Amino acid sequence: MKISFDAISSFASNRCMQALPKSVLLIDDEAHVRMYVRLILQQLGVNNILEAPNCEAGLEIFKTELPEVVLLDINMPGMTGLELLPKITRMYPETAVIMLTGQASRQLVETAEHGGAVFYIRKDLDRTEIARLLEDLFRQLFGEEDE
Amino acid sequence: MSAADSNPRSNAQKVRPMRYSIGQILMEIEEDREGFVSGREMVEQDEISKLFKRRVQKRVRE
Repeated sequence: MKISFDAISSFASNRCMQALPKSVLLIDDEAHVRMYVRLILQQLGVNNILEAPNCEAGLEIFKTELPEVVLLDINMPGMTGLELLPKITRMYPETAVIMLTGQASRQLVETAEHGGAVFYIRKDLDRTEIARLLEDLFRQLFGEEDE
Repeated sequence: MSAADSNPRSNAQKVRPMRYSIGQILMEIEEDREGFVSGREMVEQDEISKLFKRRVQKRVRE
């Protein structure tokens, strides 16, 4: 299936693309979701995108690469994203962990917030909306102070 | 259907009493309800964004 990202591309090209993380680690057990989010990140201008299909592999990559941002799913086989979240935030608080998940019960959202996630994005949103949220967040976290 | 099946007394003898703890049942119902709510009720993205706004601002200040 060919996915058109014209809308995102147009959206991104009209904005300043300087406020970006140097590297993003994407942890999600579904390959098509990783591909989908990778395309969004690439359209936003992120160059260094790392991927892991589960939390165990993600943790190993995290330890060696220390990415500035982790995009973390919750419901995965083995360790869940909510179990990995405090490990990352304790190990390296500078990393911004953004939950990107299809589940958004109040309990999960609040648990993620208490666990140190910097943001929480519902995976069922339109891709332009996901791109807009990520770009706004990147600009706040990695942009210049006078922006 | 056999004659034994149609005999209420015979059927009553087949029924074995099952002991449930009312507390256990109520706890299971409560868990089911919580599971249903947490599984189905999705918080809107706008509300999520508001919840995390303070965290983002705090992080930016740091």
